[in-house]
Amino acid sequence: MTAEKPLLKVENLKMFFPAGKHSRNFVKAVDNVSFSVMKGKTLGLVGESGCGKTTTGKCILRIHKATGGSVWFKGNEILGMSDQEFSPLRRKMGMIFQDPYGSLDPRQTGFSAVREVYVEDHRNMGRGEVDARVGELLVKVGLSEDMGRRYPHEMSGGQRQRLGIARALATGPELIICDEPVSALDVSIQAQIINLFRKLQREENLTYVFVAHDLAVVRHIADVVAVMYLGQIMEMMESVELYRHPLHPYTIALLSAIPVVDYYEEQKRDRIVLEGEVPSPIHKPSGCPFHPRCSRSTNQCREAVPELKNVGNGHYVACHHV
Amino acid sequence: MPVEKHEAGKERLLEVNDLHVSFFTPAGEVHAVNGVTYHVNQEEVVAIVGESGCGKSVTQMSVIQLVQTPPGKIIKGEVLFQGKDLLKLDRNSKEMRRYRGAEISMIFQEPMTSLNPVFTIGKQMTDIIRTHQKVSKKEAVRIAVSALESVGIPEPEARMKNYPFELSGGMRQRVLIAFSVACHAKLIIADEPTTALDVTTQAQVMEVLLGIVREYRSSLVVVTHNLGLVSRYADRIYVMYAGRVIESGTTEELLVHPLHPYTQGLLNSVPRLENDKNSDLEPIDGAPPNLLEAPACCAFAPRCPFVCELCRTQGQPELRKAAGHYVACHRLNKEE
Repeated sequence: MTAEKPLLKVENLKMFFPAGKHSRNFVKAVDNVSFSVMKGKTLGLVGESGCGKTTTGKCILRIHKATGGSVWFKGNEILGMSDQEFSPLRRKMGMIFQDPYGSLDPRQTGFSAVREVYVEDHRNMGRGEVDARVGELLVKVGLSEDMGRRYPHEMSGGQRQRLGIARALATGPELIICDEPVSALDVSIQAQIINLFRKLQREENLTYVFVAHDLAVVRHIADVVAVMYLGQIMEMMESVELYRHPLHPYTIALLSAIPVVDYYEEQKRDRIVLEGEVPSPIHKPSGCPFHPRCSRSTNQCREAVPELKNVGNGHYVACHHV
Repeated sequence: MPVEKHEAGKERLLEVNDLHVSFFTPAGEVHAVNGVTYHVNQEEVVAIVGESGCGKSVTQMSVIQLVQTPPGKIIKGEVLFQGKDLLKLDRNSKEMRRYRGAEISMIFQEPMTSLNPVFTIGKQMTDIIRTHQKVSKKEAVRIAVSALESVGIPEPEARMKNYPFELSGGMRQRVLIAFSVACHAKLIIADEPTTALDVTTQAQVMEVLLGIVREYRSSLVVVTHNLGLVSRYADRIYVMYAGRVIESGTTEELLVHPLHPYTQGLLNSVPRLENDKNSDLEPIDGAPPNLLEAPACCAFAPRCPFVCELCRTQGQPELRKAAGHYVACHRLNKEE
């Protein structure tokens, strides 16, 4: 490992939501999550719905007030900061949402949506220069000048997502949290957007936390992948390693559930179809959260929560059997 | 259409010929479906693949006359179900209603919107069963419970008393499959049945659906944009673009030797688990065309990497046989 400090470091992050007004139970959406991301790299957060991947992203941006733990961004602990202290750092963090339609004002043109964000940081800049810079941003994400004059409803899903990216870039961020940015798009458009993310990362040295449920998409963009289940990280490793040597039974099952396009490959492949569903995060199973659905569960799994252990090469697994 | 070798001995269940569907909007006539022809044999799983807006769902809705009229209108075409033209029936007639639901059952993408939120699962199921079959209430409940059981829903008696919101996405989709089971549908049309679900649940739901189709010897049409889903489950594939079928063939043929540039592009743009991580994906440039004007030439020409003079001047290419399957492309037709 190099002595280089990570751009983002999350330690024992916890986010508990009260389960209803009169209940003493908590929804443990994120439970003791730790990871770090180096500058210019991408961390993929993968898991089924309800595993806490989005909540983790929102806690980092302080959209949710985390219950416990700490988040370090550029060497500063941000969860304990006051709003005034946090504000300048917050502008170095962007977010891109799954549904760009929901995050854009239907009565605002593409150009003005990006301009609005850009102007905030450049109050002393002349009008002409601001417009020129915003135009450059649009070109950078692959939108033509003509597109900038359109309203969100006049754009296709891919174009709206490009606009969402331009808006996130307008503050000049170093870290972007991407929350399922391509899952609502068609495959041919999905590939365009993934390539755009890769291009921007090369050009701007951006750091991504890429939240997604599709392991195949994550493979193409992430350097490190963390697999989450019921608010905990089950396995974390370099993305090449993940697809070659998955160790956790949950990761193996997730990988095998993805249908493969290659015809002969798919016909001869064995698939593990997981039984049952993700248990409620209010009544989490004791011990390893995955044990009720795991084919290898033993008494130990029912009783003790497995620690996230390093098994070498930056590969971490939380399983008693590894 | 001639009978292919691999289809010999199988009976045609559904045959759609030259279907045209348009929507009349304030902006003009949108040509959603421009002459789609396909068929489904008995006990066959057929996949219809394409991107949003290619007309794949509208085609399926037209089969059971569920296209909202106005603004939609089935301009022309035939839908032969066991030899009978369903488009000749009035959409509200008793006979059409018998086909819709009992003979042909449709499963939609978002199960929450196809279930009524204010009635229990049991009430909705027995209603449907009693609409299509002359049975007592008690008997209907029995059929419903066994249908829920057959799609792998635990404690079916208890689930009968649940409301849709009390079930998870995967469970709701199973309930909809149970509707088809309870009515002994001969043809199940599943429109993006697993798109709203997680990968692991996706696998479960598809296995259930396939199990049902095999057990009851019905046929299945899967409408999807997920080529992975298709490669595992489908017998034959139709690829649609801009309201037309542009390539069709057996799953093996089509996935191993795709001929149409669009099909090739679709396959190349899928992120794969086995590929080299550091390669960029190969997307198809541009976006699907606006269907306000019926395309005069090949609709894929503006995005096609192999576009030539013929594509812009020769009008729409016909679906012709080439190397074991059917493809609509001027370039390939010329080479023959």
